[in-house]
Amino acid sequence: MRIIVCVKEVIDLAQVRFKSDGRIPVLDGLPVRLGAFEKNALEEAVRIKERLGDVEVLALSAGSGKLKESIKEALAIGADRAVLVQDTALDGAGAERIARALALAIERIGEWDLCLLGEGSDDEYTGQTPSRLAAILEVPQITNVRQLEIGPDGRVQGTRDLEQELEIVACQTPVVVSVTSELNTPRLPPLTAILKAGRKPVEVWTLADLGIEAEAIGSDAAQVELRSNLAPVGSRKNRILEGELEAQIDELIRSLEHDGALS
Amino acid sequence: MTAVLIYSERDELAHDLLAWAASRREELGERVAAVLGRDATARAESYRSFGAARIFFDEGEALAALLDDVVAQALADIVDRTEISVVLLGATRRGRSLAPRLAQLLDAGCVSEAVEIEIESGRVVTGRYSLGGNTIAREVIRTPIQVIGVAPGTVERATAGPTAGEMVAYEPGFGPSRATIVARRNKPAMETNITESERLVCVGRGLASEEDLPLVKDLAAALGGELACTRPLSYEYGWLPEDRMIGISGQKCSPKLLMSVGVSGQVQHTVGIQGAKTIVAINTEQGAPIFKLADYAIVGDLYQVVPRLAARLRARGDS
Repeated sequence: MRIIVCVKEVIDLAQVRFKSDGRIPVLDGLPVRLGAFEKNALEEAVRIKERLGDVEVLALSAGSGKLKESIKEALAIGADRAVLVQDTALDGAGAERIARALALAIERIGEWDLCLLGEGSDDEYTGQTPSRLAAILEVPQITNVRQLEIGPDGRVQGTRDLEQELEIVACQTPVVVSVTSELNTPRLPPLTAILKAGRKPVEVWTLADLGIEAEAIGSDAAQVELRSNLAPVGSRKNRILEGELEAQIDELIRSLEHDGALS
Repeated sequence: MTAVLIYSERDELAHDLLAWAASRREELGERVAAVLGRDATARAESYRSFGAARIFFDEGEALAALLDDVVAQALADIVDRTEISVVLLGATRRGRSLAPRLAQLLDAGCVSEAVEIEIESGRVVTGRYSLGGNTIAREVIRTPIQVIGVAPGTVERATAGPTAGEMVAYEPGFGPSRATIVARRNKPAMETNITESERLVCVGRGLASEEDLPLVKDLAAALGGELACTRPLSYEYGWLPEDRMIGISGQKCSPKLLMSVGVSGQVQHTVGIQGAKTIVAINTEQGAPIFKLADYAIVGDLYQVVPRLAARLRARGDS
């Protein structure tokens, strides 16, 4: 069985700062890391391998960035090998372009059974890549999965976490599955695993290797035009109450009454 | 003549989107709705009172389970048969999963969960949370067909109007999905729906022990509101049920007043409270990110602040 885990490198969101106007985010030079949902997907793949034995876990990522550091983390968690689609034409690529690059890479990888992704990414959380990828590969998708089983017949069974209900969906492979953070608690790889990760095979492909001209992958702007990406207008009062605690509580209650926030 | 296609497995969401589109008929054109799955024929009738001009319905076997691949195929079919330029979907979890699949089939750009939607100079402009909820990305889809998932609560609740609209039986030219539903289980009945509460107290990891829960429950009671929590308290510690969890994997809430108690304010959580009208934060750490989101901040120990605040709120009610 081959499990492909698609992973995304994300910026450390806790370190996003804003320009002095408080609205324009400054993203230059922020550290990147493996996304949190991706760790759940990797952890699950590794657990399946530990259960079933004859499983290859392949980590796949596409982008223009460094990728290597985050892929090392994926290999340390337990992926057997990695494929990176690295191309400047994928700079700032959104879900549509990334899904096409991933699909081409998956076709080149060859036979596969299960493709795992996070239900969304830490940064944009639009959740488009799993569904777009499944559509391109023309396979069913099981999204928002919080529990995953592989039956003795190789059938994949995922429990979808919907608002009011849990929906258990079964599907013969190949199938694309997106996972939630409730699925498992990803392991912290021990030092030996981190050292070993450096020796695992990592292939780097360009778009040309996948048989597609850089221009043919297009630009995000052709699909969606970003007009602005700003922090909401300073709508919060940000008033830090001062003085003795009782005085603070007095002022708080007065202010809330004034705002009509209390009954 | 352009047209807009509206679909959600939750009828009331579809009704809201229909009414919204009807109020912008000049830009969006005719409203077409799709009603699929169980009892679609009966359910479709209600759509006639919300401004749909044509309603495609089908409750056949292929679509009964509402699996994304076949629903996307059905909607793509309907788009092909009509002059649809905009598709509006309810951004429930199903809708969020469906929208990009449909967009891919239509070679369309997609915004999967818009929290703002308006029309500027004849174009649909959407806003969605970006950078972990720190910012709002305002976007315009440029492809000939635009697929937009609209978050519940983004447009006004619709009220039924005069009944009109033509019913069209849709017959899918394809079979069921390769995937099948094994079971559907309702989640344990929600004790309460925190998304409907006007006042919430949300407690985070600042609470040291499960035994201290009565403290914050008491504050919620004094406010006449409900108790909510961050992910660790529910999912990791199991102190409170998941239906009270606010954040990316929990509920998104827009109460009049939210009191955040012992919550540091990580983005995965704060995405769920952006819609609150007034936010009060109580935390010992002056540098906690939650304070940036707060209207009123008390820097202090929740064990000192909460009981006094609850007592004062009660005294206010008595006077």
